[in-house]
Amino acid sequence: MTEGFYKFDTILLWGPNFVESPTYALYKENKEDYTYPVDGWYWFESLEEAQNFFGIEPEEESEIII
Amino acid sequence: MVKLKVGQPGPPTTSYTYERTPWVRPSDWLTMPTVTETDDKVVMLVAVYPDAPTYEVFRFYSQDINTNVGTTYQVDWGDGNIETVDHALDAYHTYNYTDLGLASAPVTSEGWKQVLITITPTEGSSFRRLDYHRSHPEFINITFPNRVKEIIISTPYVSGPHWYLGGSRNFFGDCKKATIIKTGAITTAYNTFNSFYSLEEVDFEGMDLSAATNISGMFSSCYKIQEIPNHFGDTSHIQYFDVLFNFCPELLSLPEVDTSNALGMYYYIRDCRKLKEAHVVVPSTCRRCERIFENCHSLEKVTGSFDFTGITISYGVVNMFAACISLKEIPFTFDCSVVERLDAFCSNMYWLETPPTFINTSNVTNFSSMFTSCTALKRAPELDTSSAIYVNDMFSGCANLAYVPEYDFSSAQQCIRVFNSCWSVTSYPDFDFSSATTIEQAFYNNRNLINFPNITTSTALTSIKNLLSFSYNVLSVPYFETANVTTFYSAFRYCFKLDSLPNFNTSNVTDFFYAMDTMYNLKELPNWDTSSGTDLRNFAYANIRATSMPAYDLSSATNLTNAFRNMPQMRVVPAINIPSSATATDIFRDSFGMDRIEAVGIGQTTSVYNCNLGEDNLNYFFDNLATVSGKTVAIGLNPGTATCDRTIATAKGWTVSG
Repeated sequence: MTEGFYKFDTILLWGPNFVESPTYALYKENKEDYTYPVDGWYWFESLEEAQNFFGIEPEEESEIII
Repeated sequence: MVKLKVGQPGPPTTSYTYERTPWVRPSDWLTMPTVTETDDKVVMLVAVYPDAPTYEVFRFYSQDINTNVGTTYQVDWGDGNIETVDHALDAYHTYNYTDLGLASAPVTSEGWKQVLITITPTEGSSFRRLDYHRSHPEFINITFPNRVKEIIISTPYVSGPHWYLGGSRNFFGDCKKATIIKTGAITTAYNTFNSFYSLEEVDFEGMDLSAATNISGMFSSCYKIQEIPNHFGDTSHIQYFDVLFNFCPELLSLPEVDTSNALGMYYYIRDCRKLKEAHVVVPSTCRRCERIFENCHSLEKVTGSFDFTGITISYGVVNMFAACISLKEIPFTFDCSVVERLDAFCSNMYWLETPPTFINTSNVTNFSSMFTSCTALKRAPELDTSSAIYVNDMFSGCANLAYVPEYDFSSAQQCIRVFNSCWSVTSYPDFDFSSATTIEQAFYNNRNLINFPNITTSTALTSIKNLLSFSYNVLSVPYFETANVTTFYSAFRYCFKLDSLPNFNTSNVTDFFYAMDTMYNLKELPNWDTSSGTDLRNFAYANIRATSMPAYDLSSATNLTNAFRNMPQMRVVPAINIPSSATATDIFRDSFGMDRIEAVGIGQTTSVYNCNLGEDNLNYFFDNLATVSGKTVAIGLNPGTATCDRTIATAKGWTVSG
């Protein structure tokens, strides 16, 4: 399962169960209660959904260059 | 189709038959007049297209037969206009499609109208010089469209250096047929049919080459010509044959040309892509002969002789057979006693099985790309490389190469990709790279190499970028000098079977990106000096068997992304100081055996996701983080994720996700 809170800040950040900061906190069990985005964080049901939303290409394995 | 047997008297004839598609003169073209050897006349069939005016311009030199005083010449423009032009002045004319009457300029099936231009000297005069390389005075900067479709020339009094027909102006780019009925004894036929891109039929038997010394470029860029008749006659006195048949991609056979006294033959038959056989003689007098056969893609057989003892050193014999992709052998011995450059001599000869023999190569300094992509080559030839300075790509891409003799590379300074992607080599002799400044990618992607050779390097060396990466089967790497090397970029990446690396001197290395990436069998990270390292991205990524690491000095690091990620058997990260400004994204992530991280000072967004940190050790990790603003630390999938004291981190300004 790749559901969780996602934020894109140069890289894609993920908190599957919680996000705690000095000024706010997000918990999976209360995910319906928040007005997103919260400091850039969103709830998505999957990694693919998050990547689509943020327009991020899935990571690709390195290939041999001859 | 007409089947022709090639072969005229003289040494030796080509032995194969070929099919030529003969050019058929369209029946609706205006009939060309009969021109004889006694005529002094030029006739051109010119197309006038409907979409733009046609501009004609040329300059002829007409002189009195007896006094040689300049006179005049007459131009019948073929549209009813006849003009008398002074000697050595331009004749120019403009045709407009709609203004041309159909009676004098009938439309062809191709949609253009046609006129015959006839140029003659006035009575009592003769042409002494022709010049088609003029600019129309009203359109100096305009590139003229191709418009001359056919030309007949008889100028028996043009001699010496005054013959000047083809060239780069594209004036004859659409000319299908050219006939030279008569010339005087010209001394140069330089570029005569050069850039006659559409030429399909040529007759130059009337050219008097008995006094010529230069026929360079004569048929260069005749893209359509399939056959050039044996009209050269005796050329044993001619010195310059450079670019003679260069870029005649449709040429099916070579006419016979005696080059026995040549001084120049470079690009002689370059890009003759359909030629199957070639007889070429490079005599000892020849100073330049580089790229003679380059891009002769269909060439299957070469006969003749090659004497390089007169070659001008600076040009060497570079690219001689480059991209002769059908040639399997070069059965010659080349004496290279005065040759300095052999670069790309056999490059991209995919089917070359037997390399030629080179002798006396002790003066050759450049062997770069000499056998690049010779994928059928199994044995590298014996060569004296004692003076080699450049050996870049020398055997790069020789996928079937199995045997490499000892080469003296002790003078070689540039050794980039020298054995790149030599998939079949299992072992090499030892090499002396003591003069090399770079051996980047030298043994990259050597998939079957087992034992890396002993190599001698010196403080001259500055880069081993990609040295051995993707050489999956290498079992050991001996120590060599790296004191002044600045980049280890991807040096040993994907060397799956290496279980250890020497403690190289890395005190000057700044670029460690991918240096040990995905070395699955590496058990202990080497004790390298990383104090100068700035880029350590993926430094030891996926070293899945590594159990311990030294306390690397990361004081200069600016980027540690993935540096120690996915190291599942690493239990303890020692107390290493990490600059708070260094990017540390996913630095320890997915190292699921890692139960203690003593790293101090992380100040950028980072991750210990999927490690083995319990509550106490997560708290300890938080204690060692820098105080920040707006940074995130990911701690998910650790035993202590739920129970650790996240306020330690949030009190320092961190956002904690898990």
